[in-house]
Parts: sequence; structure tokens; C-alpha cells
Amino acid sequence: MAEVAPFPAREAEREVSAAAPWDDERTLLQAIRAGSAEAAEEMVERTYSAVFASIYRLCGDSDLAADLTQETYQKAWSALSGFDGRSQLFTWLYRIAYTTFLNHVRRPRRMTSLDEPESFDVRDESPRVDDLLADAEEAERLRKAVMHLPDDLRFTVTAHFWGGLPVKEIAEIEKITTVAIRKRLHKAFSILESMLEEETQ
Amino acid sequence: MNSKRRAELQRKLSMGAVPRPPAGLAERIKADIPKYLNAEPQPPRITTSIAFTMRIAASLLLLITSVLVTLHVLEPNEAPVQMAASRRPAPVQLEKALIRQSPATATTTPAPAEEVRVDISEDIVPERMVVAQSHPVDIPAVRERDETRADDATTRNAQTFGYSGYHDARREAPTQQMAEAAPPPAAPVAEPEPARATPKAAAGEIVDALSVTAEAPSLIPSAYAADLELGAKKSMFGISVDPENFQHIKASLESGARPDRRTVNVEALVNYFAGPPSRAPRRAVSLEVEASPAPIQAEGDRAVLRFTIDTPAVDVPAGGSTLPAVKDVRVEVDIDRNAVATFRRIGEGHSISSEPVLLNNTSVTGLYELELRPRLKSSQRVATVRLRYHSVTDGRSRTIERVIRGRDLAKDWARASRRHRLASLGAVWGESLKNSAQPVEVARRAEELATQNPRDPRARELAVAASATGGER
Repeated sequence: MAEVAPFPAREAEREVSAAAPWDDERTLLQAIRAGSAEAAEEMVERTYSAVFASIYRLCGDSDLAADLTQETYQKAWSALSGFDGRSQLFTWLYRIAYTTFLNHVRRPRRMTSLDEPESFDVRDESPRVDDLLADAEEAERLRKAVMHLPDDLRFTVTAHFWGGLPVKEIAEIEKITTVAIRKRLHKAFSILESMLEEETQ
Repeated sequence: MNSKRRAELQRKLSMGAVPRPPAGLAERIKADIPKYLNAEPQPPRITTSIAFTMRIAASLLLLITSVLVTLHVLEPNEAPVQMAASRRPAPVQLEKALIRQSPATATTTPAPAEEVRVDISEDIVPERMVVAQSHPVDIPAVRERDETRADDATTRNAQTFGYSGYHDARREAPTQQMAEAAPPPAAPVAEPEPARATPKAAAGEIVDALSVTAEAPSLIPSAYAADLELGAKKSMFGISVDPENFQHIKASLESGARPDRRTVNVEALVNYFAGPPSRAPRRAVSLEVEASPAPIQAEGDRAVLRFTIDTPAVDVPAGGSTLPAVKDVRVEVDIDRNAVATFRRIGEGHSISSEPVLLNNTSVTGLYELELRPRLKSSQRVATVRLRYHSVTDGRSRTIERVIRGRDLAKDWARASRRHRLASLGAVWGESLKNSAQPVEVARRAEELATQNPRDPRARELAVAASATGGER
């Protein structure tokens, strides 16, 4: 039987852990604050896929999500001194990512072209009714409906379902109780359901 | 919503394929690391804090030195008396100041937050600030003002929003002060009419991501008002209707400074200058849709599309609540790709298509900039705006639809309605502030509007403000 080489990823993992044992976020952050580029790279490796995924679910565009993910980390490096470590690292990154996304959609002077192939839906801000929606289209419809939620509900829904943040952490970010967060989710569901129902009628 | 449907919605929200990050993304991100990590080795807030502390320390040293020098110059045997005399007034002054700021409680331990709020209001916000408080408005104080000046439209507006608050005795006097405060004297910009629309919309403002993350406030403004069924809205359809924004800009201009571009809310300015309808609708709700060539033509064939939703003006009894005019309201803007090449919504916010309820005494305006395709036919549809709602009286669903065609755009901007011209000029001015650009021609055109109708203060305000920010009249 031929000898099997060690799986490269595992090998790399061992090397990293031997050189830089950042078992928990706190030590990782300390190392980054101390100027360790290696630690910062480790933070990127641990988090960038999740940050990308959460932004993708907000914007529905892979290229844009990649750009905004990069922008998120640029801001994160600059804002690192303001991070007190009381929340999870990803929670902090998600907040930056969410703000980066909002700032992107709010940038003035951005004209939407109706010539681009992806701009098939010419209705502004209102998804086109289609009785034969495929799964992807349905997901897009839901995404747009979520984007139409009021700010507080939108953040709560996206942070919980797309950012994967627990209710407790969202409550800490928003400085309200977990009960209030659950109420927000309940209210958001009601609005979303009526929006989606209206679209299909 | 039953649990099955809720579970289904949760499942839909949770699922959904997410592609893998593009190849090389991690490397792109990592490439930024050295640059940014090395750029700020020290936390900027600490540096700022030290500098601030040093300045305070220097000021204290200077003060102590001045006192010692003064005492030294004085007669030695009278020094104790002089010291006593010079020291006594200080606490008295302080006490007076505290009492002045919090007369209702008549206590020497006022709540700091209340004092700050009153000071700010007195300094930069005219009496209309009573309406614009995002925090609860004190009902008794407003009612008292209404009894003394029943014809005061400001007070009527304050009543309109008064129901949203709770009664807090500590706020009574400060609120009354604000309600009865005279407008700032010698204002180069005329005092505005009271606003119909509801308070400020922080949600519509661009938030600087760095400052948010560094100072760790909430990303999303409090849901305080939005959670109240009939609470004063911060925005409608996600569109800011904040009358306070223009007041802040005006205050900045009056102090001789160009306003910080980050504080400019173009949507709020559009709504401010669009103002209330010339004639309030008699029906539950009305929809105005109008389009014209852009007030200032840049490159391409640009047009401005406006929709405005108005609800009836009703007098609200003192302490009473404004009733809903319509509910389950939804706005749809369909832009025809055969007529329009590109478009954008003017403003910073992210519009929301529906509102659960619209109260009486409400006006909200949204603007779109359209880049028209060449050779537009007069009968060609450019856009359709629909307003769907449920009547609160008979519970029936209704739809109002307005279609804009090519011929509606053929007319000159100067022939558009006054409201349309003011709203679109307000947008151009707001965006020039936002982009640190010169508001070309805005002042002149606003001046023309002001001359046409001297009784309309908004055109005059815009002319003066645009002139103050670099536009030529």
C-alpha cells in the first residue's frame, strides 16, 4: 500500500499552532494588538468566510460581497483599538460588515442601470411578482423583503439568521433585552409574511 | 402567524446557498494587514484623551497662578476678606445656573442629561424643536401653550405628536421653555413654517463605520418610536422627514460655518422644502406624482420624478392623539426601462415600500433622478407610481395609480408645480453640501420662487441658505 502524505491543511495547522498558540480569541487579539501580522492573518483565516457569507446574504452579489469583505477588514484594522473584547470577535466584525454594507447601499450618486443583464427586474425596490419562482428567485425575493424591513428589525433578522449571532449577543449590541429582540423577530416575521403574501397574490 | 408558517419562514431565512469566497480573497485581505496595523500603533482615543487632559491641566495651572498673583498684589492684611468675598459668589452663581436649567424641580441636583438637552435646544434649535424631539414630548406643557395661543400651528403640531410620549415632570419646564422660546434673533434665514411631518430620522443618516465601531454605540437607532403602534415616526417608507436637519444646517450657517457634510440629510431637506400641500386632501390620502427636467442639467438628459403622499390636516384636541388616516400602505415605483437608461433614488436612506399606518397631518416626498433614453415619445410610459392602502373607515383596499409619460417631461422645469420645484432645488442644494460642491444656480432659482410668492418662507430660506453656501443669487 502506498504511503499517504499528510494532508497539507492539517500539516499547516500544526505548524501554525506550534509557532503561534492562539487558542482563544483573547490571546489572538493581544498578539494582533502587539503588531503580529501572523496573528492578524490567523484572524482573517478564521473569520473571512463567515464575514463573506453574511455580506453575500445581505447583497446577493458575490463580487460585491468580496469587495465589501475586504473593506470590512480594512476598517477592522483601523478600529481594532476601539474593540474592548467584551463581545465575540465575529460579532464585532459582523457589526462592521453590516455598517459597511449599509454605507454601500446608501452611497449617493449611484445610478442603477437598466441596461445591465442582471437588472431584469425594472421595478425599483419592489420585487416583481412571479408565480413560477425557482428556489434561487425565492431566496432573492426573501432577501429583498428583508431589506425592506425597518432598520432595527432588518439588523436583528440579518444578524441572527445570516450572521449567525445569538439573540443574547444581538441584545448586547442593541443594548436591549433578549425579550425585546425576540419581539423584534416576531414582528419581523409578521411583516415579512405579509410582504411575501402580497407579492404572490 | 401560526407556528408552522413561522417555522417555514425561519427555514427559508436560514437556508440558501452561499457561494464560496472568490479565490484570492483571503490574500487580498491579508495584503492590507501590515499597512493598517502599522498605521496606528497607538489607540487614537488614548492620544486624544491625553492631549485633552493636558489642556485641562494647563488651564487649571493658569487659573491657580492667576488667582495667586491677584492675591499677592492685594493688600496682605485684607487678603483673607478678599478671598472670602471672591469665593462666595462662585457657588451662588453655580446654584443659580442649576436652578435656571431645572426650574420645575427647584432642586440643586438636576439630571445632567436634562440640562444638556435644554442648553442645546436653546442654543441652536428654534421653537419648532418641540415637535422634533425624538424623545417623549411633554403633554401638559404643550397643552398650556395651546390654550394661550390656540392659533399657533407649532403647538398644533406638538399636540399631534404629543401622544407618543409619557409624562415626565422633570421635562415639563424645559419643554415649555422650548415651546415658548423666541426664534433666534437676527437670523439671516427666515423662520420656517411648522412642519407637518414627524420627527427626525437618524436611520436615514450615513453612519461612519469607524466611529461606530470605535465608540461602540448601537448601529441601529433605537426602535423606541417605531415600536409604538401610533408613535411618532422617525421616517416614513424609510424616507427621512426630519425637519430638524434643516434647522441644524441653518444654525451652522448662522454661525458662519459650512455644515459638516456628514450631517446633511438630503431626504430630510427634500421633505422640508416640499412642505405641506397647498390644499390639504379631503380624502383619507392623496398621491401626487410629477416629473420634470432636472432643475440643473448636467450631462445626459436628466429628469426628476417626485411622489408625495399627503394625509388630511386635522385639528387634534389638546392632549389627544392623531388618528390613523390609512393603514397597510404600500408604495410601488415602476420605472420603464424602455424610457429610462439609469435611475437613482435621491437621498441616503434605503427605502421601505410599506408602512403599517399613516397618521393624519402627514406629508412624505420621495425623489428619483432619471436618465432618459433619447427620442422619448410623448405617449411613452416613463414610470408608474402606485399607492395601495386599506381604508380605516370601511376596511377596503384601494389603489391610487399615477402614470408619467414622455409628454409630462417635455415641459420646462420652471413650469412645474411650486412644490416640485422647491423639493428638487432642495435636493440639488443638499447634494451640493453633501459633495462639498457649489450649489450652482440654486440660489438664483430659489430667489425667483421667493419673489413669485413672498408669503412662502421656504423659497426665501433656500435662496439665503444656498447663497450662504456659495451659490450666486
